[in-house]
Amino acid sequence: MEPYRPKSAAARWLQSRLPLPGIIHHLFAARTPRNLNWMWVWGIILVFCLGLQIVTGAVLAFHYTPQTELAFASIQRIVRNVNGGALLQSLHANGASLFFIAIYFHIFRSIYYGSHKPPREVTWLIGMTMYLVLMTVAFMGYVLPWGSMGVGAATVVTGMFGTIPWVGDALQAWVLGGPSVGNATLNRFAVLHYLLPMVALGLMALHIWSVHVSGNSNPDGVEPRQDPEGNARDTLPFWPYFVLKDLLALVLVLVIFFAVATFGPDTFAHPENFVEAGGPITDAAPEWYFLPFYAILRSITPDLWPVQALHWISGGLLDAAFLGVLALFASVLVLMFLPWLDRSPVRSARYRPVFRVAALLLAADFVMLGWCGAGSGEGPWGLIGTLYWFGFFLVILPVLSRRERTRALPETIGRA
Amino acid sequence: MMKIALLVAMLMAPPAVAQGIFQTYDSDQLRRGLEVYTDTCSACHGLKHVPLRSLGDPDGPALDAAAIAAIGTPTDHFPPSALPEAPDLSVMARARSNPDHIRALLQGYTGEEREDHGAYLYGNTEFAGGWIAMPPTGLDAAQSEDVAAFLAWAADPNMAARKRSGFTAVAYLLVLAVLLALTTRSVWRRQPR
Repeated sequence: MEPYRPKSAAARWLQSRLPLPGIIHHLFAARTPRNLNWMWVWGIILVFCLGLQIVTGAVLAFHYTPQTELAFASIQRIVRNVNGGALLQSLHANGASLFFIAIYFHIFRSIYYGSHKPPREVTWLIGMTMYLVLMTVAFMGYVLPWGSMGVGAATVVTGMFGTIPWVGDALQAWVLGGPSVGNATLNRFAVLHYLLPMVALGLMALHIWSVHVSGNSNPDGVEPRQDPEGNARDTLPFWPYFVLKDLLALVLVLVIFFAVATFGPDTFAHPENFVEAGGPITDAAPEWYFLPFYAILRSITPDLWPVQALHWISGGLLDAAFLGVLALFASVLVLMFLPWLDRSPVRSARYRPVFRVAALLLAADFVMLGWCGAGSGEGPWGLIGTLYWFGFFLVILPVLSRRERTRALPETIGRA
Repeated sequence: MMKIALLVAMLMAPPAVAQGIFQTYDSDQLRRGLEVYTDTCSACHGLKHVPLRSLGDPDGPALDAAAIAAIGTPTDHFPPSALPEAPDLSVMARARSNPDHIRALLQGYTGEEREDHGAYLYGNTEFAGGWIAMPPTGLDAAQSEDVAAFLAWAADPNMAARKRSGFTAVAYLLVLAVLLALTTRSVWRRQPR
């Protein structure tokens, strides 16, 4: 990449004081592998989602009241009395769903094409941290309208802290700000729902920065050549080629997004969340994007022999509820260690026939777990899904890293 | 690839979805439903989140100013439930997974009756558990349908306006998508090799 030369006097003036024009120039001039496919568009969609949620969320916060007696009514006021409020509320609520659809495609692309492998582990770690932050934000946002489903979910999720031996009850009360989900809980959730997206914004900046240090990964998993002629054959500047392609993908996704948010705004919502909280909690289910992990939580039942064995060995300290919570957290945290579990030197699944099948099965497993999470939780499928989830990361990946016979890699991206 | 997938998805959308997209409220039916609500439901139930002003919405019952003034001050809301055990109906139509729930409930009485710890319960095939504390209303099928439509409007008064925004947004975005697709194709064709 050629060094930045300011073209205008104003740019020269700013560049010598704060090199912002240079940074922007480098973002757009970045040499990007020619062979990026449509799975590389989810990043721009995620940037859009964070922007959309922050802008619509700020306007909703102008009118929202984080108080248990008033919260539900304040959402109704936004929808009925605020100009454009119904559309804003629908875009924000459905924006969370779009966010997670994009997150799951983006993460799966990384797993499938080995984008997390050296030298991109830091990008992966920042991304996974962002994922944890955004899960927290989404969960808290689900509670803010003070509907019975959201408050039920808050009771269940904070109840997970209560299952921890010895410190559980004290920790749960500390998280809730009282003995149960109440006004103190709603207040802190509202504050954190506003604060944590700013943390995510900072992490997103670091994520993009780290991508620009190591360069984009690509579907063939071979690095672009570094000599000037080879580099020119393997890469294209980000502007205009990938900016246009990403914008096209974004607009196509937005067609579907706006259709859902305006024609069927309750498609992804639980009807019970339109009942103001306060009555007895009869049912609690998470939003669809947490259902796979919810299925893992529910798959650990007291009748499993390893659970009974651990219960007996620990003298009753470890019960099925706590082990289920451990499985839930482990199922998310295991993703963090992916670059050190998948040590195969070949990045892309295109050249790893066995891994390719295993990774596609992981995607199918994730969908199946989601389906189990939405159902009654009976039957063996939740447990089978949980076993494959952990089996993929902890057994299949380390074994394949050593044993798999990979196909010959292309010498360069240009020859792929 | 993506455009083809989108086209296939649009063509494969079930007729019910297409019907849902174009469906709006019928002001005459909403006015009849309002009458049923006022005469029957409001004896116990409330609509505390619904401003009276919104009865004048042309997408809704489209009452004129004098008709609204006859009900109350336009800036006021409908009163809350008169009976504490009768749930508020402002968003009831969106709070049940069955979109036909309210009509089916009003018509779902079996005629059976039983006493449970001093309270009367009435057999109803639509109500979860089969027994409901609300006594039969005596509304006929047409009245039930009208009041259900009125409550659907009360729960989502912006549906028609939101759908109009949706058509505008989707139309502009599709135009933008076509322009971007053409631009992207012509730019990528001229890429340096």
